[in-house]
This record gives sequence, C-alpha cells and structure tokens, in this order.
Amino acid sequence: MILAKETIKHLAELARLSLKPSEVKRYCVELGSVLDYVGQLSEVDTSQIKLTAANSLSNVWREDDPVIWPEGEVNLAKYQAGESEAGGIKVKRVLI
Amino acid sequence: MNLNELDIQSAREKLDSGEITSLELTQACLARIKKHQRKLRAAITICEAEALRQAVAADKRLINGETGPLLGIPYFAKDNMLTRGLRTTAGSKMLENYIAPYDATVVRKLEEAGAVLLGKTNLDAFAHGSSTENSYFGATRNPHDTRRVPGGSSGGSAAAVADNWCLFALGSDTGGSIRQPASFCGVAGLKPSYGRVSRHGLISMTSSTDVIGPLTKTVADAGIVLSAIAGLDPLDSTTRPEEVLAYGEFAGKSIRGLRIGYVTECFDGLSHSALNVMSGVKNKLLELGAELVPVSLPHLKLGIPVYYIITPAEVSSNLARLDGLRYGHRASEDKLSWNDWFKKNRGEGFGPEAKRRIMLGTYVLSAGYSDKYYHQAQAARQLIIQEFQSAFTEVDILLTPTTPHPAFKLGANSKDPLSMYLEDIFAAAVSLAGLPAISVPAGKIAGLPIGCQLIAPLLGEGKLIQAGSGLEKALNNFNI
Repeated sequence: MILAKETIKHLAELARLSLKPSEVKRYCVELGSVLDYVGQLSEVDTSQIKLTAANSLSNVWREDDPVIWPEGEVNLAKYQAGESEAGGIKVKRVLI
Repeated sequence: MNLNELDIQSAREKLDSGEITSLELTQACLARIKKHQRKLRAAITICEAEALRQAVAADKRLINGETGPLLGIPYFAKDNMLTRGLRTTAGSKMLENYIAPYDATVVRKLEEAGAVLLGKTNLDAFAHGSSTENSYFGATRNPHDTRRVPGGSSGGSAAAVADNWCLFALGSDTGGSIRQPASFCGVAGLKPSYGRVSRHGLISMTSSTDVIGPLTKTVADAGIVLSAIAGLDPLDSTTRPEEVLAYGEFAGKSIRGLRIGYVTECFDGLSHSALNVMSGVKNKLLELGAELVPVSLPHLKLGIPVYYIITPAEVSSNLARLDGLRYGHRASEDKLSWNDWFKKNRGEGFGPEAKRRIMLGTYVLSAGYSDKYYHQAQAARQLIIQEFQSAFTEVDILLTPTTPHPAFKLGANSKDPLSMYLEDIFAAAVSLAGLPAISVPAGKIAGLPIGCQLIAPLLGEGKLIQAGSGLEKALNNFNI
C-alpha cells in the first residue's frame, strides 16, 4: 500500500515531527511498504494466546522520596537545558 | 605481536606478571586508533587524555598487588551508553553535543574493575539499523573490506575489536545489533539474556528487548566481560536477581553429549557458500562429541514482522523525550509558536530512519490499528517464545547462521528500508524471546567473515561460552 499524504501528516503531527514535502512523499511509500510486510501477521492464528503483561519479573518498589543527585551531575544536566528559573526549565509559552 | 593485538586473557597474564603495563597497552591501542580512524571511522569520540589517566591509575593498582579480570584492559563503549562528562551522541544530530551527566551502570562497573575507556564507538543513530549507515557521523567501514559495512547497529564496536583498536568493546543488541556486526567483522559477539545486564544509562530503543553485551576477540573473553557487567541493579527494575557466574570459566569445558538443534528453516535458501561454512560448523561440533539434530521452528520467521511492529511502537514512546527542552537539538526559534518550534527540534534532530520508526510506532499504536498490528504482534511474540521453550525441552542449544551472507557493500540496502530490516532475519526472534545468543566466527566467504549463532535458554550464557569456545578452537578461527 501507499499511505495517503494526510495520514503521514497526521502521524507527524501526533509525533511532533516537522517534515518537508519531499519527506512526506517518501514516507508515504516507505511506511506503506513496511506496513504491507508486517501486515502478514494478520494471517497468524493467535486465537489461543491470552495477552497479558505478566512475565517472570515483578515490580520493584521504593518509597516516593526525592533522591538528591550529586551536585556535579545536576550542573551537567542543568547547563544543557537552556534557560532556567526557580529550579525549573523555562520554555516558550505553551497555551495561546 | 603488537600489544593492541592481544586478547583479554593474554593481556591479563602479561599485566599480572609485570611484563607489560596498562599504559603501554593503552598507548598501543591509541596508536592504532589514530592510524586507522580516518580510514574506518569506527569511533565518534576518542578520550586519549582520560584513557591515559585511567591506565596510569590501573598500573598503580597492579603495582599494589591488586588483580582483577579487566584491570588495565582498554575498551570502547558504544555511543548510546552514557559516560559521565563525555559526549554521548547516540550517533544522532539530536544529541550531537550532549554531555552525559552520569555513567551507565555498565560503565561504572567497568571503571571500578579498572578497565580503561578509550572512547565511544559509532552506531546507527539511536541504534536504528544494521550497517551504521544511519549514523549522523557517517558510516563505519568494515576492516576486512572498506567498501563494505561493518554491520550494525554496533558496527563501530565490531570494527574496533576486529581492527585491534581495543581488547573488547561494549555493544547493544535489540534485534541483532551485537551479533550481526560480529558476524560481518569476524569477532565474537554475545547478546546476554534480557535482564542479565543493567540498561541504566543505555539510551532506550526497544525497552522490552534492549541488552548490552560484549564484542571480543575470543569467546572466553566475552564470558569474562559478561561477568564484569552483569547483575541485579536497583536502578533497572528489569534486571534479574540470579547469581552472576564466572562465565569465562565455561570456556574449555567439554561439550561431549551436548544436544544441539540446528534450525532447519534457517538453512533453507542459504547460498552454497554459506551452507558450506555451516556444514563445517556442524562437522566440528560432531567431532567435539556433541549430538546434532534438526529442529523446526516455523514461527522463527515471524520474528521480523513482529519486531518491526513492537520496536517502532516502543521507539515512538522512548524518543518522545527528545524535544530540545532538557537536552538535545534546538532549532532557531525566530517567530515560531511553541508547537512549531517543538516539531522543528525533532524534525531537524532526527534522521529518516528514526522518523520512520516513530511514525510507524505511532500508527500501530493508534486507535483503530492497535488490535490489528500491536496486539497481534504481542500475541505472535508469545507463539515465538513458546516455540523456543518447547525446542529447549528437546535440545540444550540451537544453531543457526548469524546472517544469511557476509557484509554487504555500502549503499546496497539504501533504496528500501525493508531490505535492511531483513538482515536480522535469524536474530530478531531471539531478542523477542529475551534469550541469550552468541555469534562465533564460523568461516569466510570470498575473504569476508561470517558467523554462526548459538542460542541458549534464558540465563544459559555459560553453555554458550562452553559450546562457542569449543567450536572456536576447533575451527581455529579466532585469528582476525
């Protein structure tokens, strides 16, 4: 299949990706081809399988207490975040 | 022999006896790196000053009478593993200048063990790929033929080991990314069981299959490195509590009576030369006293379609954090709205393969499509898991070729993403089941290396080292 341009644009919007028109065109074909290939799974009989998120691992819990990072690590992280204010990272206005 | 050509066990003897120092060993590696970096481009970052400092520190510990399997041994880490204070790029423009604020658990463990970090190796961006051609920093070349790829996504690590830039390298394997480049570069590549090694500090790709593992010159060395990096980690709740064994000591144990199942579906359609190589492998295993039986795994081929639904789904979630806010690429703002700027950070920072996977993942998880794709893939995954479990009631180990062919030429798979995905046809199902597997150099086709894959049940890494090292010795194939 070849996906519609609107589908690619919609996916790009949901995933917050800016795409050039040439990219939109190319992904219509490439994603369509992959979906055709993976779509072969529809033919597999999975009626006997009960889906569950359980496996042999179990959840690991700790108290919900803040753990203070070492200062050196905090500074390394902070300096890459752009403008900060009052312990938070300042970004552009979100709501119009 | 130049010191950088040593394997870990040989270097260990010479370091412990005082015949060589870690500084000499590290300097030999650095000389080799500088000589071949432009030709092979296996590294993104080389931390010479820091490596020399670590080597000197290791030598102090050795003089004080300390010993340890990796004390003073130089290595590379794939650039999707965080190394504190050092650039960690994931091979992507998005993190081109990102300085990691903390060490991945495996890096911390290796530092405590006294291993010497030489730098970070090249990879397909965010580990998406099978050739390193998706790296923002350009593709790595295969040391055996520089017109060809080293494989991927841990291509830089495989090339670095194959070209003797280091004595081992860390890679990550999500659907074949340690094993396939190991096969293409003629080195040993071990993918541990899911949860055997901590993922803390590994930039997430497919959280339910990602594993860190070693690429080495010998199978025994892979066992030695695994013991150093494995174990329960409170910072990674998917790590397993089972005891970490001395995996290196499984090397050299007899495999007489070991039941090995060769997967018939993986031999259909192989080229004549690949079949010859695999026949050689089977013969050696028989000579060593193993029993060889055919095993059919009809669901193995579902590995790729299942993988390319589940992986993009998890990737779309894991890459959501890359938005240019706390870290990562920031587009120029001009008069852009919040939303447009956000999209531009990601649109400019990600390469085509990352975008394909993010969008595919978004699609297969969306309402109206998730049943057909994502839930169906997770169900088919259970079929794959059950089939392996059933096979392991009959045999101890499974055998397949690692890859259907040796390294392909740069650009050969560029036209169609799907043809690149199919490179992992024998590897992906193993990852989906969380099983351990190793690629052992099996022979050469037209001068190019090709590996065979041994697969064990969960936590069966010991058996892999045992069988792999026996095979390696019999094939006399560990000289790169």
